[in-house]
Amino acid sequence: MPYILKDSFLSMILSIIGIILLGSVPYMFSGMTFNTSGYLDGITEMFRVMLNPEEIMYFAESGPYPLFPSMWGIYGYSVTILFAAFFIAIIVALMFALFIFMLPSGLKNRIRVFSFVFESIPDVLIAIGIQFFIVWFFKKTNILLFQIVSLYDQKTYFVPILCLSILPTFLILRILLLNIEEEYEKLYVDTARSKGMGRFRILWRHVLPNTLLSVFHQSRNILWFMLSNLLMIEFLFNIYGITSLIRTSGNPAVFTISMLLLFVPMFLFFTLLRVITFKWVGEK
Amino acid sequence: MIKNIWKDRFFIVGFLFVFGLLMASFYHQIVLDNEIYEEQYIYDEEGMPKEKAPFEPSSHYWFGSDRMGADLFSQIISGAKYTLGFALVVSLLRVGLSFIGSFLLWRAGRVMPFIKGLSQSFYYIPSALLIFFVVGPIIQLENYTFWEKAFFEMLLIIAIAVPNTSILIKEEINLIEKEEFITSAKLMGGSRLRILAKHILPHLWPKLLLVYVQQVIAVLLLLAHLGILGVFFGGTTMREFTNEYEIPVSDSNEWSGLIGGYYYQLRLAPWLVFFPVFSFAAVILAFNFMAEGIKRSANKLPIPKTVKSKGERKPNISLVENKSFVFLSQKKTG
Repeated sequence: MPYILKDSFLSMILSIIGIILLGSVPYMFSGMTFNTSGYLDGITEMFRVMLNPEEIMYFAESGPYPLFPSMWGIYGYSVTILFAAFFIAIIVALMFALFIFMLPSGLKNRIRVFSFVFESIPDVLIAIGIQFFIVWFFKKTNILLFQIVSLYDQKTYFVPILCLSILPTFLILRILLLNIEEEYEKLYVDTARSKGMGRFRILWRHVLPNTLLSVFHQSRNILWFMLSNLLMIEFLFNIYGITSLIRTSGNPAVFTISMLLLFVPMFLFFTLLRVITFKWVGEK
Repeated sequence: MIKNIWKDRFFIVGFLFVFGLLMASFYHQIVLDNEIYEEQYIYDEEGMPKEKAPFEPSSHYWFGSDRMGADLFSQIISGAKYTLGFALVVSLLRVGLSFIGSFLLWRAGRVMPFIKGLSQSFYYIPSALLIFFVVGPIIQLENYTFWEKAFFEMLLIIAIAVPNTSILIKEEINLIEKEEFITSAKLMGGSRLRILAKHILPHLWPKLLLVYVQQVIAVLLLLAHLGILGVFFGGTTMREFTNEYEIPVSDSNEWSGLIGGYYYQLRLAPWLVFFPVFSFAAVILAFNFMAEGIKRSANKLPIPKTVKSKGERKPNISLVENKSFVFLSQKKTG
């Protein structure tokens, strides 16, 4: 346990430094030539600004505003969408996995191919597709299913979360299906079966927790992938979230502070997962 | 193991699709002289204009047309070679550089945890946003040529993937190093370089091929994202539509350029955005098929060479017919 905390602390410090280094990259180029001294100055300046975040100004059309009090709303909105989509994806994928597992094996293979094809669809296509569907449905029936475009003060949750959770659902479903199969080969399943345990009970009590571990291992990749999706969805649905803020401001300090703020909940989540898996299986 | 991929259905399907698309694109370039059918009006029998561009997808315009009346299908075919070529070349450079980087990391020793920790920060930043953020201001500058800008953007797209891919390859090398045959090779006194060349690399190639295909997919996705955000290669020229306003047109019909250029016509002519994105999806699917094929054939054992039939297997000892018995002392040796 102390090892995990120490290691997490080190990786937190290093990741923060890494994000600041990446955030200062625009200082590295003056035009298209490398400017090393400018980069070093930029980094020191960035560290100074990060320690005094109230100084960061945000330039809107009507003039500069301090970023901070108004930033929290935008930030909270994006993080809500991101994590809501992630947890919905896990839950839905679990339900699908349980359901598919109960099916006969011929059908199972067909579903696997289908989910493989679906997983390759880029997020952009899904977002545009859903937009068209809603517009088409509105034209045909005059019923606006959901508010597609969010206005500045009005926040829509349903459609963005739906869009954001589709691809991760298929991703997690694939991981789950692969691992359930692998787990079933193991000896403890035979033992449980020989003791007369029911098929579903073995799945629920023994196989599923072990397969969930592999989803946890992949969660960093999945969340990273969802971050890119978030960028697209905020752009396509005209949502004023954290990535839109970065896109429109173009200021390195805004970029860095937003990325650091996004880093915090994700990092806490991963550390929590590590601690949980440690308590559970004793794996570091 | 690596030769098995040609026998895998998944790999062949994906490969044929990509190969066919590239061939069609080059055919369009060389034989059809890269010409794109363009007509603003459709006339009926009496020569009266019946319809005005943009046309919807139909049997004549498979993917529809834009407001200039240019056929989208030929645009996509013509742009395929740039998009695919770019993705293939960039991923090759990414994997090549990471391969070199992984050797540097292999001997990094105590610095390794620090490098690993720093490169973790890439996992908290969407790569399209990073590229957009760095390249965006620079490509708006006037005093650079198109090629300089394209080259600059390409370098950045390569650079952002190198740290994490290097670590990935390094971990693959470490996995191979743990195998027993490496230990025996060490015990037999093989030098480090020899072990690397003779024992590690042969097992690394299939993994590198898989990493390469996955990188191609990542680059294609990144291109699609950048296209939506309005950063794209292939150059943009403003083309006069009517007297009042101009619309951005992609020079090379490169796909991310098509998406970005047509994005503002999304409400007017949805198919203009849908089909370029759809082409991206189809190519990504094809590469995923290839990746699946590589994974499957890497797990298989090499297929044994065809065993000779019994007739061919007869020992070819030339029988000595006339002198069936010779004393050893009389036999000439040497």
